[in-house]
Amino acid sequence: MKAISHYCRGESHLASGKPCQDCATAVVVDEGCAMAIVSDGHGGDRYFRSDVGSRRLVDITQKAVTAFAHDGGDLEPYRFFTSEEAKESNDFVPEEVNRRLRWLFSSIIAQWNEAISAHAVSTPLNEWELEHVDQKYREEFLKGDTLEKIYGCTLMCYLQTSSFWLAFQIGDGKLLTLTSSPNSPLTSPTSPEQLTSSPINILTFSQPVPWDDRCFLNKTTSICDSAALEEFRYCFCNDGTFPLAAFLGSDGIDDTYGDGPMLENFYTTIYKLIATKGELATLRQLKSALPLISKRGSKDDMSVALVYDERKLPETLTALTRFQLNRTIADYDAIEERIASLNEKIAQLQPLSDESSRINLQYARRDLSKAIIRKRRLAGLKGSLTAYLNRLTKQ
Amino acid sequence: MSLLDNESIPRRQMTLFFMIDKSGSMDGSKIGSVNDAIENVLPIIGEISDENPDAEIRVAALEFSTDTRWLYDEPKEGKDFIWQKVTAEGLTSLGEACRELNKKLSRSNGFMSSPSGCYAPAIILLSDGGPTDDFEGGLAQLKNNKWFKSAIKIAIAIGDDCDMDVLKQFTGSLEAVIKVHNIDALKKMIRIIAVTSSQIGSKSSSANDETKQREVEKQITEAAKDVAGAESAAAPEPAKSDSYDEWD
Repeated sequence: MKAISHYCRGESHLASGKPCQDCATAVVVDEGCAMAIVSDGHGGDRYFRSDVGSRRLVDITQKAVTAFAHDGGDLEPYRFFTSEEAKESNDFVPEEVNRRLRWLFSSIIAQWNEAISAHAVSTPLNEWELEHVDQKYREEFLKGDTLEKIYGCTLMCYLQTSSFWLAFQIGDGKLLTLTSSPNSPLTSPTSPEQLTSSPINILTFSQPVPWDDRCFLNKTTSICDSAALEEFRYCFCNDGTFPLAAFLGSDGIDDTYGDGPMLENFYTTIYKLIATKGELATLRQLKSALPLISKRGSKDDMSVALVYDERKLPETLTALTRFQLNRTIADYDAIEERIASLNEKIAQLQPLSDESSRINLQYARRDLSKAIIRKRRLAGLKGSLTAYLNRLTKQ
Repeated sequence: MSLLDNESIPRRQMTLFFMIDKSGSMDGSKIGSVNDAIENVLPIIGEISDENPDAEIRVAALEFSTDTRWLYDEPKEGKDFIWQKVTAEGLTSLGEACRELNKKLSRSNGFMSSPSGCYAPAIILLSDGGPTDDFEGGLAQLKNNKWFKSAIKIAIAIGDDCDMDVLKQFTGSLEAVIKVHNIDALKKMIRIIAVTSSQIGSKSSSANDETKQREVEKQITEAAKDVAGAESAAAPEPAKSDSYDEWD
């Protein structure tokens, strides 16, 4: 297993003088065991030490999860399940796994509370805080009753060992896994015909940790909530199947790319960079690109951490390129259909019968121009992906 | 292969909703002014959107009287929005308008996309009377909508016949209701409110949605002080005069 991570200060934090409140790490414990962790400190004025909170939380989680890695593989039910399933199902209650996971989460919460209390005692309000932090929040800090709010942050973690994998989360940010279909083993195509012959993708991106609807726009659950233990969501799997890779990104990433195809494409590019240029070159790209992506996108702090199976890089690279090509072909077909329907609409609207027809014609023409531009872009992308896939096949 | 050359990085999106009362009592200069003011502010919103590196602002408009109707079946960019003149007639089905807005404040068959990459919407309600249907029922539905809860909500009360309590219930506070008493004030306040809501609502900051709402309220209350015939509904009642409301 291999793992890499990078995080950077967001454009809006640079402008406001706030520190980077994200923290991320990726650790290979041993050959069969790796983890990725991301924490995002809250940005509101009240959470003025969330940068410290997120760093502490990542450290604590790394240690706690490393200890947990030696546990858990030998437990029933030898299948995949989520926290939601464990809560809802009457006939399936994986008590022992749940007990150990709750122990892990409560241990993380307790250690974090202890760590931030110690930090608050050892680190009085500094000059910047005295000058910039609202008086009511400074008083809250000095009172010390609700310190956790001041250090509040989210947490996301993926752990893979030789016998199980586990993903858990409290708060926002997106955790994606890349898996291959069990019915379609990864193989490289041996002929050009095979490049696009498979209409069904054999790879799937998914978000295996159940989502919490309380995380909405800039609201999120948090390690600083009084019911934090109940807010942890997770999935656990020890049925012998493993993702090819897991990608963790703070909300700065999904606020830039959304949580659909563009986000998957972003992680696809990272994966392909690793497969073709290596880990160090990918890290260099992340370091130079993330601040620019923050500037053009969400303006927020950006964190990316991933764990991947380096033994499957070559065949996954081919399959991922085919996955991209199939998606591009589907998009191209859809835009061709849209162009045909817009042309039909334009023909039907003429000659103009009233004001409404005039407006509709104007919109149809505008939409048609946009669709033609998109079709050209997709045609270019289709061509370059096909050529790239051909090169991979020949290698 | 580079992380920057894949696809252009999209800007985040914010949707500005206009809810326009076009009941019979709006006939004449009131609806004329609303048409005029919104048509004129759309290019400005387009400019704010174009110059804003943080977000793209899209506009949606719902007119309501006895029935409700969306001007378009999808939000459009401010600069692309072709205003269709609204004509006044019928009753004031504000409850039904709330239900209709509730349907569109969603991802499934609605106007909203994933919350990732979106800002909370801004909603501007313009009305000159009181609802003639089940407003409470419609509003109750809307108040459960997460997009609505997070939205910037401002109402413009056109004239003295407006039911202030209804507008207060819709926006959540009297500070978010602006009263206007003449055509000039109506036009100016539509422009000020649309521009302020767009600017603050589409801004990337650590401010939460509640803070943005307060910020918009503060700015438009200040602006209203400089507009003759406009005032915050939360401001002390001005001295009445026979000619205070001037609509024709």
